[in-house]
Amino acid sequence: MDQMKDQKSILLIEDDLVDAMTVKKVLKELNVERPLTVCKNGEEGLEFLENNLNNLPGIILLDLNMPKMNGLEFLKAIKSHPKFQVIPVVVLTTSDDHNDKLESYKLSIAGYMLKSFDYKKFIEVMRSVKHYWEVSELSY
Amino acid sequence: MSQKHILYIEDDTIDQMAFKRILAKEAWLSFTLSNSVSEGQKFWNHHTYDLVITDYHLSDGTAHDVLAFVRTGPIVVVTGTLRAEEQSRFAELGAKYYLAKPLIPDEFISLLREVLSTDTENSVLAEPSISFDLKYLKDLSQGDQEFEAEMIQIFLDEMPEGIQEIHQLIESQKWIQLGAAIHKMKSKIRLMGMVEIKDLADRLEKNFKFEREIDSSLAEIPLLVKSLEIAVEKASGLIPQL
Repeated sequence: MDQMKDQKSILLIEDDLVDAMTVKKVLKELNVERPLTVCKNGEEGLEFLENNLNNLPGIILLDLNMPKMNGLEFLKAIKSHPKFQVIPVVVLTTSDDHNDKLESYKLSIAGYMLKSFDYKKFIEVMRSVKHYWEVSELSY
Repeated sequence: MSQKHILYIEDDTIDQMAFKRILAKEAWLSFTLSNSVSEGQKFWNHHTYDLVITDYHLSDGTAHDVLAFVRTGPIVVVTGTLRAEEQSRFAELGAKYYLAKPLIPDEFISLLREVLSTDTENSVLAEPSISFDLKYLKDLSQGDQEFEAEMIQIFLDEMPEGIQEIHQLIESQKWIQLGAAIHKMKSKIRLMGMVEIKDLADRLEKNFKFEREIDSSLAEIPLLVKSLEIAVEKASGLIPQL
């Protein structure tokens, strides 16, 4: 139980219900038991981080195409924030737009993953996110 | 019945409100309101409608002017002063149906059902073939039927709203938002393995997002919408009886 308590949560920022459920299912498949919080857009994500009642997540999985505050706007906001800028962000998107990729890396993301139509590929993508995170987890 | 979109030309506020109220209960019907012949013609030239309903007397013309630009597709003329000779003139010009005011809700809706079901068969757009490849969903669910049903239900719940949104954004000519609306559909298209329209949705999303090739992209919207409507009808049969 203590170990569970120490585990930092995952913050998924995703407006699409199908994609959110897919990520949930894949995390379960990979035996990731960390708590998962889903926010529907950047604005909600920022509110979640700003709320002192919430512990900071260990990783943020971020969609780019969202209403209200999109992924890039969200990134800009947290990367200029002294407390939030250290949280690793992995972009999880369908956009293979070169500019989106470039802009995301400029904003110090930890990785850029494409949502795949192929389940096996998607599992592999998520597995690599999991490995990356386990190896590089920070304490803050 | 699949989702239908009506162009409604009427300049009287009370009649507009009555019409809106009658259609409010019919989720399968959406409409665009126009206040005049000239505005109606603008909408007609830029968008696709399943049906045109027009009042007879309008501020800048009459139903005859509307009939003149709506040469194909069904049209219903609503009028308070319906005379036999007027009826025959409308028929010559191609109007198929007439109704007298005030509209009686049940009668009006059943006429719309009749008009829209017969005219679908003669529609210009051939029925697109749509198939599902549920491999992705099956891989994902790992045999969890409840999960499969839940995912298909999201498709059924969200797709009609998405189609409605597409119609509205086309009317308001908000191309970037239209791109975003098509983007929102892609996860559902991917979920259901709809290979026939995946590339089309990708292409249209990008074109509208970057506001390029608008006219040719708009011309492809009916195919996308029709395909999605058929998909919704088909998908409802996929949910196992739980």
